[in-house]
Amino acid sequence: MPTSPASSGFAAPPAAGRAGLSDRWFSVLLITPAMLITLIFAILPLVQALDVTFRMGDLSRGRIGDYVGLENYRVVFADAAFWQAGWVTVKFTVVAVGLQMILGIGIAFLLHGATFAKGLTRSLLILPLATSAAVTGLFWRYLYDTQFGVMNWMLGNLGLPEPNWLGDYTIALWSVVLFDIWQWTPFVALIALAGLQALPKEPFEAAELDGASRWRVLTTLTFPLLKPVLFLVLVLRTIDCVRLYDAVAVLTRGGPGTATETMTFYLYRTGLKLFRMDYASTMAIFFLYVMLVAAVFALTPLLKQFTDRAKEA
Amino acid sequence: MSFSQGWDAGFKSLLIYVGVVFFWLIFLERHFADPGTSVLLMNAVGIALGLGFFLYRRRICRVERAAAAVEVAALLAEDH
Repeated sequence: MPTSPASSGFAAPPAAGRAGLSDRWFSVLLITPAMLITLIFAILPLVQALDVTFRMGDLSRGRIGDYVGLENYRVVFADAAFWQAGWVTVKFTVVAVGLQMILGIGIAFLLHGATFAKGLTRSLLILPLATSAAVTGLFWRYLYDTQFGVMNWMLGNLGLPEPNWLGDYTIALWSVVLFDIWQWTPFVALIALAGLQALPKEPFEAAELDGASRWRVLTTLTFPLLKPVLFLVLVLRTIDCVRLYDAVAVLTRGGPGTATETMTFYLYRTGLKLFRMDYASTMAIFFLYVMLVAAVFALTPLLKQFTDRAKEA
Repeated sequence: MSFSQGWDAGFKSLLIYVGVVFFWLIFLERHFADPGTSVLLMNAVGIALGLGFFLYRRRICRVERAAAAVEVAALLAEDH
């Protein structure tokens, strides 16, 4: 059995270049710059936002005012528009993420089995991701245009009704969802494809030798092995959809009425249009809290899986 | 209880406290005639639940540490 210098009675020589620092202080020194940056750019603004939530913060009066206790929280929680924006965000997230996951995984499987133009397709898939939503949103506004848009031109040629994609309150949200699906499904597909290509070959060869059906291989091997990757994509896409702002800002500006007003857009409107920084900060803190709790719940099974694997190793 | 375990349990306790505050303000405060009493009770419940969770996690960590120590001792005895 090999013995370490410490266990065999010899003291380990000090590591070169650490100027006599112990391991503990060397670690502290390494992590200090990152901690300082986090403190200055994340923690201090957060503390200030938290402070504003307990004060009168009407910027049209020119300053952050006096301490008002929990009054801002009471006002925000009693605001029907706030909950309506939350509901719009939930609807958008569930539908967009659900469809993106299904379509993305499907595309990944198709590409994984493809033998022709695989590299070209992969490169083309990156295009929607590489362009800003502010730019692609403008393209989509023209696509959705009721008079000159390609969508309605095609529907008209087929003899189908031509809807007002962004002006009809019953379908405006789903038009934004369609745009988000177009932009982000390739992301899910590319990550799932990378996961598929990284899977070990041996279990699949063994299953083939045993004569396992394709469905059984899919349900007992492919998806369980892909689970960590898919779960990570799911978490990333959910976080991104919940804080949706750019697509709404470019396509609908929250309209018609408040049909597509998401939580972040309402927050922006309250803080930077109505100048109520107190209510906007309160919404932001509540939003942050919801996201933190969701992240804790979402990441716990993933971390447990990593811990179990480490224990097995 | 190690520093990282303490940090994790402390952070979750804080989340529980803040969660109680939000839940109280959204669903329960309207049933109180006096907001002062409501805030007092809300803080009491929040602190009790947060502290309770922290103590529960501390007990779990101690039990796990004791079990690990027994396991290590058994392995060492096996080696000798």
